[in-house]
Amino acid sequence: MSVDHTTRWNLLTTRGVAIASALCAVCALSSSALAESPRSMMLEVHVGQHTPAIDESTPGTPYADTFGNDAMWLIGMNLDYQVWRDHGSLAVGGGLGYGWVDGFALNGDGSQSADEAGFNILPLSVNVTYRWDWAALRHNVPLVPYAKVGLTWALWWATDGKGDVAVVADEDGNARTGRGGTLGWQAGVGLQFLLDAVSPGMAREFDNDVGVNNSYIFAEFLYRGLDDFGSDSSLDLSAGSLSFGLMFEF
Amino acid sequence: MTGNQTHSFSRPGSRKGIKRTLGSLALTLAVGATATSNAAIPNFSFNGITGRGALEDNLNDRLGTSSLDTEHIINIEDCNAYLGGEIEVSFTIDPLPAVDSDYAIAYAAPGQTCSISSIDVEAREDACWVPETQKFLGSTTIEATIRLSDLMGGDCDANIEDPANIYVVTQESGATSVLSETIEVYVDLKRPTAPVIGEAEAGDRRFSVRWTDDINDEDDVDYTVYWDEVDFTIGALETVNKKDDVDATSTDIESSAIANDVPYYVRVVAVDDADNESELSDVVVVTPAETLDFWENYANAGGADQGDFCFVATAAYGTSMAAELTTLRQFRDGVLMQSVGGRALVQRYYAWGRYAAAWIADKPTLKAVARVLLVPLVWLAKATLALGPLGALAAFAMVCMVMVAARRRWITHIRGGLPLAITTGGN
Repeated sequence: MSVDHTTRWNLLTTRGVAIASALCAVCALSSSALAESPRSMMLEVHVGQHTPAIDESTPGTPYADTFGNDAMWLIGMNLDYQVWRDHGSLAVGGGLGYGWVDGFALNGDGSQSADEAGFNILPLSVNVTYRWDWAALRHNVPLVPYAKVGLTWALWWATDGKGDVAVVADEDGNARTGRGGTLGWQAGVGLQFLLDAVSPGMAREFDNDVGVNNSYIFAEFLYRGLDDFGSDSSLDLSAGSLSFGLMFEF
Repeated sequence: MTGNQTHSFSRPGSRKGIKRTLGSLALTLAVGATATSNAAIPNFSFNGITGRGALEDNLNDRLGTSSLDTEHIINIEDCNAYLGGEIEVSFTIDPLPAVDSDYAIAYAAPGQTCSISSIDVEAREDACWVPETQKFLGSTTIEATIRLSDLMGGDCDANIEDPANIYVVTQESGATSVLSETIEVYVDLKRPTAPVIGEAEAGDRRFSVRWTDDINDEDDVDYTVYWDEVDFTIGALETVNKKDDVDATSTDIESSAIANDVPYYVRVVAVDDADNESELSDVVVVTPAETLDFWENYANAGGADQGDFCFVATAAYGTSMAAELTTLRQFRDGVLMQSVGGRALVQRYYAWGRYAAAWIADKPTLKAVARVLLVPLVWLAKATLALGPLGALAAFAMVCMVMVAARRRWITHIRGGLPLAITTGGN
């Protein structure tokens, strides 16, 4: 081993020890945050993107024609109640979201017009969520994997250049109004990071002041099968989406 | 409003008004020897302005004719309408001073002042007029007639923007100084500069238009967009479509009066706080045309979702029930929506029918059952549309009676065929 390699090895070793010490310190500090008030609820807010599978279930590509490659922005919140706690927790709850995408209507020749067009969804869901927080709460590992499954119903509406709900006439001259609702299911997995580990003192104050036991940031992959359970005559809003958010356990 | 009041020509909350007020303050200070060195008249209040002769009931609200008004504005349009006319301005001093007093009322042309350091206010040609001078203050109400041509400066094309003051001066017997109040009438005869119109973008039965304005202070003006199917001049704006109070340099024009494939001539004017309009901008021509939003693209691409949560449409989609669907829609719009109860029923249907629609959407058997169940409803709708609600009710009653009669005969027939004797009562 050359001098340079030896120096580098020593440096890495020093850094490794420092990181390990820091992690231990974080874990030790976070353990002091465990003396906390009872908890049974979880509130999460999240933001992500959602590209509905409209074009996959339609002969043409109306979504891409109007919105290009843009995904919908989707924000939402969930409130869950923990019905079981042992080796992890099982919670039931509901969520409400809002998603939107804006694009431009097309001229008769297919070119992009100046008229803005939009599409919005308002997914309502009920979920069952299992979180494996045993390691986080017992052994100071600040990571909580979880999985959820549930039913969802998405209200949706399309807007025209005036911002009104879009209307188109069918072959009989009757109006087809661009709003509706699509039923479906959802399932997903995610990983939460316990923020209490970063600042145990602040976490304790948060618990004492407002009763929030634990705070997490998380990343979640959720697949929504929004097509009226396979109906061919429904707008297909199915998509898998990655979202990020903040969760409070109280 | 009583006691040492300030009648401003400014508009509350307007930045332009604030600037004008500051300008007024500067002007007042500059002529302080006449306007502000006097003490205020106790128990003084402005009592209102009335038009005389042809102007009776023809004064614009901008002039602030009510006793509650604190701003008084004359613009170019008013100036042209008021030329040669007179107004009567009324004030109240109640209670009267304990000591005998005299009063005078004077007014000055825009940008001019009257010397009000004594009760003997001196008139000056084309600058200051004194309709009431050194009169005994024996009544709580005092009035003066004012020639508007003088107050406005006499030339509506003068391109001026100045206050014209109305003065009330009193002096107690034996006193060496006078008391005074000033009513400011803002005479704005200056048009804002016309904006420079830019691009107009066509949409589906709408268009948007942009313009620039490097001359007028953006805080001083709003804009009005005029459009019509033929070009127009400033003298014909009464009949032209417009969108006013635009507080930006672009706007979307959306109106039921706009049709696709029709060229529209569009011009913009700037409008100042006194409601003076600039000259018309140059014209741009824009032709709205149909565009296809997402929902139209979806429908044109063959998307099957009918939208609108319609259970009946879901059940009937792809079948030969299109005519029945039309009948039911006519029934909805022509009968149900004409009554409160019917509207509530329709509302409930759209609130809850969506669930049923979603449930049967991909179930051919259930859709077929739904279509069969809808047949009586279609008959009822047809009967109602043909006979009217009462006729349909009568027809329905007759059908019910026939069915009851038939059912009785049928039950009697069945009973007669039974081997058991049915008895009632007895032991």
